[in-house]
Amino acid sequence: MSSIERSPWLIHYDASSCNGCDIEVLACLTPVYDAERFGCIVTGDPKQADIFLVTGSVNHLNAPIVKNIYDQMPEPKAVVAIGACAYSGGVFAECYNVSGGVASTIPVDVYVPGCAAKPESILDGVVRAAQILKEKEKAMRATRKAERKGRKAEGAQR
Amino acid sequence: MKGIEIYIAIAYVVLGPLLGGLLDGFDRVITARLQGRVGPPLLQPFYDLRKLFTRRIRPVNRLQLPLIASHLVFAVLTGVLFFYGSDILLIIFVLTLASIFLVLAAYSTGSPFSTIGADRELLLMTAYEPMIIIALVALFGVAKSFNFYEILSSAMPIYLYLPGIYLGLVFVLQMKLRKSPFDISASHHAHQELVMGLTADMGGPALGMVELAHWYESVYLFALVLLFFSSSWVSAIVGLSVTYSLIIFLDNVTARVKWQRALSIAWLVTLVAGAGNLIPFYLISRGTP
Amino acid sequence: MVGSAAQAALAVSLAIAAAPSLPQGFVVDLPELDSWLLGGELAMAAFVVVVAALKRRGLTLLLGIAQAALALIGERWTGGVKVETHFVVDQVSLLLVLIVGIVGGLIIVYAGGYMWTYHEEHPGVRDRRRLFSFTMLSFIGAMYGLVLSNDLRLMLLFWEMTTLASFVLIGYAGDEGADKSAFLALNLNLVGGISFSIGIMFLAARTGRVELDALLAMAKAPEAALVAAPVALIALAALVKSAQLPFTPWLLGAMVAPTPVSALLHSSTMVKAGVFLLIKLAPALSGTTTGYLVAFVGILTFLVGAFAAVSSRNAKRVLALSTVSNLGLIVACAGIGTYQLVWVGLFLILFHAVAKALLFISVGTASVGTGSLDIESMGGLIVSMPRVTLFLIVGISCMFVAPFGMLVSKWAAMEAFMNLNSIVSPFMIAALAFGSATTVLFWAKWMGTLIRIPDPSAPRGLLEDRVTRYELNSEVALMVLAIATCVFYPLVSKFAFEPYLVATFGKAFGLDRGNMMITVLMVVMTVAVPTLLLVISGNSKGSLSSAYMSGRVSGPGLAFKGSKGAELRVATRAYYLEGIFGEKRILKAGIALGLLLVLITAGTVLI
Ligand code: SF4
Repeated sequence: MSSIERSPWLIHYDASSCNGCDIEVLACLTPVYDAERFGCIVTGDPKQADIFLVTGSVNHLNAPIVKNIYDQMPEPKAVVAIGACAYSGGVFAECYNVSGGVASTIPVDVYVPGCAAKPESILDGVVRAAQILKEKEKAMRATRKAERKGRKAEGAQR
Repeated sequence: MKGIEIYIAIAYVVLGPLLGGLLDGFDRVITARLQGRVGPPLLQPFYDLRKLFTRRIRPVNRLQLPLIASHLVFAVLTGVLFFYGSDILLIIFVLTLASIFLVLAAYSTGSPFSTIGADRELLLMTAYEPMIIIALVALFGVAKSFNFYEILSSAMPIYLYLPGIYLGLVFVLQMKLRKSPFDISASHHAHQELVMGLTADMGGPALGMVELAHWYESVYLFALVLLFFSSSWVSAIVGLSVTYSLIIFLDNVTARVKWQRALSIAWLVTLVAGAGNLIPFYLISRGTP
Repeated sequence: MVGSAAQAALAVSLAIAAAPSLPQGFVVDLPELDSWLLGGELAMAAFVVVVAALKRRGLTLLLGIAQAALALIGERWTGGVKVETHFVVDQVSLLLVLIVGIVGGLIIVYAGGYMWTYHEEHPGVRDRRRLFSFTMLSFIGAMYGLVLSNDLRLMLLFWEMTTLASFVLIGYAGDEGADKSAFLALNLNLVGGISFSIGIMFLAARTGRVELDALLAMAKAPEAALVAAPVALIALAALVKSAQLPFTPWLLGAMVAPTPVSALLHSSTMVKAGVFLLIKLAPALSGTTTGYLVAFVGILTFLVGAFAAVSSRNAKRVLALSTVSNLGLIVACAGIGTYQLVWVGLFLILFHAVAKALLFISVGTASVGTGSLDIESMGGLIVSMPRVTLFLIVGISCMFVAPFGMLVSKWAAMEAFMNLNSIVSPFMIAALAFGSATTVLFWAKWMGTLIRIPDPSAPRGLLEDRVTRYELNSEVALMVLAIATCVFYPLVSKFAFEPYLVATFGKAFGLDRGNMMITVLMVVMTVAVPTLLLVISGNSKGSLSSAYMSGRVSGPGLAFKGSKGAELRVATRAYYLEGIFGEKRILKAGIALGLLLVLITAGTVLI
C-alpha cells in the first residue's frame, strides 16, 4: 500500500449549501463512522491536506476561495464533491449568484451522490479519492523521472 | 557506564524517531478507544510521516525551510547531548534554542495564523521553562549530578523526595507535548480557532520535519521523567506508564484553556509544586550533606 | 574620530604592556595630591551649584552644597592619610579598560555618523557636537581613571566626573524632557556620590586607610566589623550608579538622550562602573548582611526588569529594561560574592557590554530608517534593512539564546547558586528560572517581528540608503566582537579571570572544560547551520506560495479583498501581555520593594 492511501488528510470546505452535507461530513468523524480508521485527519489547513472535500454549490463570492484552497494544497491532490449541490448546484442551481457545481471552478475527482450524502458514501468517496491519489502519485513520479532523464540527456548533449 | 554513552547517543539518532513515533501511535489508539472509536492502526504516525515527505510543497518564503530544518537539527542535537551525558541544565537551554527556530519559522511567514501560533508558543515556553529548570535543579539536589547516567544510576527513589516537582513536571509536559488543555499554539486536532496555529503554513516535508523533531523531543522528555523512577525496574516501568497514561487522560478530559490563563496557571503550579517542594527539600538536605 | 582611535589604541597598549605581571600597583608621587583632590571635588560641586541655580533646581542645589560641604569636612580625616598605591592594574580593571576603550571607541565612531543624521532630523536641537564629542571622550577618560584607582578618594573624583558627564550628555537635546531626565540622573547619582564620600570618611576615621585593597584586606581580618559600614555605604553608591531598584528610573529616563549616549551609558561606562565596584567589593560583601541585601536588591531588579520589558513596545526602553535586568543579575552575583559567582559576574559584564552596545547602535540606525522606535514598526525589517537586521539578530541572540554569552553565564550562575548550600540558593534559583524564561519571551518576539516577511517579492534594503559608513563600520566591528567573545571566552576565563580569582579568593573557578567546548561548538553550529541551510535553499529558485489566509486570495503585504471589494490589510502584532506584565505597575512595586531593601541596608549601617 502506498503511503498516501494510508494517510489521506482532508480539508473540508462548505460552499453555498443548506449545510446538510456539511453536517454529514462531520458525522464521519464521530465514533460511529470513525474516519480516523483509514488514517484520515481533518486538518482545516490546505497546506497539510491531500483531499479536498467540498459540499454545496459554488457561487461568485466563494469561487475564488475554492480555487485558492485548491491552489494552496501540495501536489498531488484530489477533490471530492459531496452531494447534489456540489455536483450541479442542486436545488440552488437556478439562483442568480450560483455558478454551478464544484467542477465549474476546479477539477473534481470523485462525486458522492445524495441529498444529503450519507456518511458511509462520503467515507467511500474518500477511500476512492485516496486510490486516485495513488495513481496520480505514480504518474507524477514517472513524469519527474522522465524530466530528470531529459535533463541528463540535455546535459550529455552539451 | 563510561564509554557506552556515545553508542547510546548514536542509537538515539537512529532509533529515537521509532520510539517517538510509537509513543505517538499508542497515544492515538488509546485516545480513540477512550472516545469509543476504533482509531488508526498503531503504525499510523509512520505512515503519516512517510506521506508528508512525498509531498511537493512551495514554501511561503526562502527563510521558512532553513529555519525548520535548523529546528530539527537542534532538536536532535539536544537529545544527542542528553544521551551523551552532557550537563542536562545546559541541554534545556539548547532545547529552547531548537524551539526558537520553529517559532521564528512561523513568524517569518507573517500570516496571521502562524504569527498568533508563534506568539502563543513563546508564551508556553515562558510558562514551562521555570518548572523544567527547577526540576533539573532539584534532581541535582538529590543526585548531586547533572549527568543523565549518574542520576539514573543513583538508584534513589527520587519521586519520594520530589513528589511536587514530579507533578509540576507532568503538568508542563502537557505544554511541551502539545496536549490539551495547553494545545493553544498548535494542535493535532482540527477545528480549533487557530487552524493549525504555529504550523499553519507548513505542509509536506516542512511539517514532516516538525513532526520528526517532536518525536525526538518526546523521547528525551520521557527519559527525563524516567529519572524520577530509576530506583528499580518495576518503579521505572510503573512510573513511566502512569505518567504516559496521565498525560493522555488529561488530554482527553480537559478543555483548552485561554492563552491568557496558560501562563498564570503554569507559574502558579511552578511556584506551589516546584518551589514549594524545592525549599523544604533544601532545608532538610542541608542537614545531611 | 582621531581621539577615539587614539584612546582605544591606548587601552589596548596598556593591556598588552600590563598583562605579563598582574596585579601591578602605581604610586602617584605628588605631594599636593590632597589639595588637588579637594580642588577637583569643589570644582565639580561648584559646577553642580551653578547649573542648579541657573535652572532653578532646588534639590540639586542642596545636593551640590552638601557635596562641597562633605568634601571640606571630610578633609579632616581623609586629608594626609598615607596611601601606598594610588592605582592598581589587575585583570578585572584591565577587562574594564578594554571594554571601555574598544566598545566606547566604536560607539564614538558610530556617533560620528549618527549625530549627523540626528541633527538633520531634529532641527530644533542646537548643534553642540563639539561639546558632545568632548564630553563623550572625557566620560571614557573618567572611566579609565575609575577602574584603575585604588585610592578611593581618586575613585570618588572620577566617579563624580562620570556623573557630571552623563548629566551633560542626557540633557543634550536641551528641551524640557531632556532636562528633567538629566536632573533626575544627576540628583540620584549625587546622592550616591554623597554616600560614597561618607563611606570614605568613615573608613578613614576608623582605620586611617583609604585604599580599596586595604579595605578588602581588612574585611577578611578580625577588624571586619570596622569596615562594615563603609562597605555598605560604598555599595549603596554602586547600586545607584548601576541603576538598581529603587534607583532605576534615572537610567530609564536617560533614554531621551541621542542613541550613542544610551549605548555608552548602558554598555561600557556609567552603569558598568557600579557593577565593577561591587564585583571588586565582592570579597567584603560575601556572607555579610549587606551582601545578602545587595544580592536581594539585585535579584529583585533582575526579575522586575525582565517582567517590565515584556509589555514595552519601545525598542530603546526594552533595551534599557533588559540592561537593568542584567545588571541586577551581576549585582546579585557580587552580593553573594563567592568565587564562582564573581566569575559569572565578570563574564556577564563582558558579554553584556559588547552585545548591548551593538543592540543600541543598531536600534538607532533602524529607527532612522523606519522613523520610529516602536518595535512593531520594525516588522519586516529583514526585507527593508537586511544588514541592520543581521546586527540586531546577532545582538539579540547574544542576549538570550543558548550557546551565546549571556546564557552561558546564566547557566553558570545557576550552577554556582546551587553550590552555595545556603537557604538563599533555592530563592535565587527560582528567581533566575522565572527571569530567564521571561527574557526568552521578550527577545524572541522581537526577533520574530524583525524577520516577519509579509511580501517576499519586495525589493530589499529600501530603507538602508541613509545608513552612514561610520555606523555600518562600528556595527560590523561590534558584531564580530560579540561573536568572538562567545567563541573565545574559555581563553578569557583561563588567562584573565581564573588568575584574578586565585589572587582574590585563593580558588579558581572555570566551567568544566568539556562543557565549555560544547558551548563553543554550539556557537559555531548556531551560526553555521542556518547560514548553510539558507545558502543551500537559496539556490533553488522554486516558486513560492502565499500564506494561508482562510482561503482568501492575498497579494503582497497580505492585502486581500473584503466582502464588499474593499482592500483590507492584515495587521499582526506580538503579545505584550499588559494584563500580566504591565510595566508601570511592576516598576512601581519593584521600586517600593527596592526602597524597603535599601532602607533595611541603611538601618543595618546605623546599628
Ligand atoms: S446536496 Fe442537499 S443536503 Fe447537501 S448541501 Fe445540497 S441541498 Fe443540502
